[in-house]
Amino acid sequence: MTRHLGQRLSALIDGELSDTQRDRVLAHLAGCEDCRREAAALRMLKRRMHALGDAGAGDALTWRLLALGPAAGQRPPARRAHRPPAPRRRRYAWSLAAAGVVTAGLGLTGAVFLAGGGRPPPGPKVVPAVDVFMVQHAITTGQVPARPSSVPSAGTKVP
Amino acid sequence: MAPGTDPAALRVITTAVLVGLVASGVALASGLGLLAGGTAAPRPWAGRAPANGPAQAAGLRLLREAAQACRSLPYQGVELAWWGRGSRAGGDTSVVQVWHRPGGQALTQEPGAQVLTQPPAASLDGRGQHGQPVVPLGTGAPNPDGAGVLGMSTRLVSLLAANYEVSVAGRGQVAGRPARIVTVRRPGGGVAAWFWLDSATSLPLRKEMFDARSHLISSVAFAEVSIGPGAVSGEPAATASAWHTTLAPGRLARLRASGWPLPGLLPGDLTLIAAKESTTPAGPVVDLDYSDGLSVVSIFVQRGYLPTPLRGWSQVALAGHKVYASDPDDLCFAWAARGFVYTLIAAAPQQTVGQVVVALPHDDGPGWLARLKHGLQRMLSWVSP
Repeated sequence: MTRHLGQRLSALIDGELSDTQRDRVLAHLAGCEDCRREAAALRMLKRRMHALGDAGAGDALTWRLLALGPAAGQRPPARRAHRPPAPRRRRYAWSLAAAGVVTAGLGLTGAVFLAGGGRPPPGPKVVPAVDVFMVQHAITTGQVPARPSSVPSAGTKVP
Repeated sequence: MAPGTDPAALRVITTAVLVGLVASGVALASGLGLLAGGTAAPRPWAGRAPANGPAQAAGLRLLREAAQACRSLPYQGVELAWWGRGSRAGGDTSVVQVWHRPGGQALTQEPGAQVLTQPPAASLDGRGQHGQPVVPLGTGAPNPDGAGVLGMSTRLVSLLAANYEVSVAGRGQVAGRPARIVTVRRPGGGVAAWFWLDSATSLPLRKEMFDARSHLISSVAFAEVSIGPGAVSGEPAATASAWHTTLAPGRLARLRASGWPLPGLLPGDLTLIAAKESTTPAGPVVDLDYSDGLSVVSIFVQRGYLPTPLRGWSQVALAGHKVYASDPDDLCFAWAARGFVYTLIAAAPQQTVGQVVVALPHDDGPGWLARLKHGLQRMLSWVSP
């Protein structure tokens, strides 16, 4: 029975072997297809982890990638047990989506609300010149409607 | 893999947020009327076939004679004017002295007050005075279509003929003078007005107006009157006049194109009969006068916003909208909406005033909603100044 590389394969990928050890491992890889396959999987894992650059995301990706290789038996059962089942993950995703929508809506509403305050509406502040307007209206109507005594008037209020 | 980093979940979140934002924007923009465009749609209240028949013809003939008499006859007298709000209780009464010389303007004055005048009506119907300045008072210039006392003019008679049924109702007496009575009815409805026209000269001596519920809303009548040569003496000089700048249709169109809300037609068959412009320290103000032949509604529009509180005014609810009222007994209201201040003064039934108020723009709703609208408008202006 052939003895495979085991932990030395990880050390090879990480560049932690001495020259002599590396020559021996490479010689083994030349004749062992299983170890070559595992080495390729480990290299791919290392590249993706570098690309992600995130410990949390890398952790999840690690377990998925390891599932592709022959060393699946080495996965710690305790870590597998912590993965939520698929329906639960979907619910979580939808909850997160809903929270995102609500947050965006509240944020937009808050921004619009803030933009609507503070400064007065556009244009000048206007106090209607009701005295002048009353006179113009009286001229237009040809009638003499009663109006407040403070207004320049064509009519006199009588009790 | 954590659910938050699942590309499918991220796509769902991104899509949902974008859809939510777009939907919110569309809903708010629609609520603000920003997507509807600025052009006025055809109004359902436009047009109503006038009544015909010998009675209508006889009544209109008398009213036209009355309008002619208002323009051409010399007269002097004292009028009693009462204006209510659909109830005989309350209202205000005025005593006014009136002078009129042929071809001139009617002057009205209360003892000790300034003089008002009846200037030429600024017509927008293409018949005569487009773009011409309103003739100032006291110049002796002719007054070809002066409104005269009791609101009678050829223009108003034309509108009245288009919107009401007119008939001769009988005879009466006003200020000791025999008079013919002309009834003005709403099509298929009740009495809208009565006119008492002098039997000898057709000069209007008395006018009563009613609302749609047949409540008296105004009454103007000569308490004493002298008509004819030598009747006029001692008239005062005019101290007030109409605004001189009459808006030509081209100027109106330009103002509308630049966003000014200047409707040509209002509910209640109110047609734009005059448009004038003046300048105030706060900017230009446009005076739009509307009539259906009986009622007259003036709307003053100017850019800006109202201070809060508006001192001297009280906030009231009118036709479901919050507006400011200058006086409980006056049909004078003001409000601000969408960057413009509106001041409405009416000699019209309160129902008509309510219809007009509803037809004009408003920024109603709770304060937070108005602030949201304003904020959205401001943010849209950042995107598209």
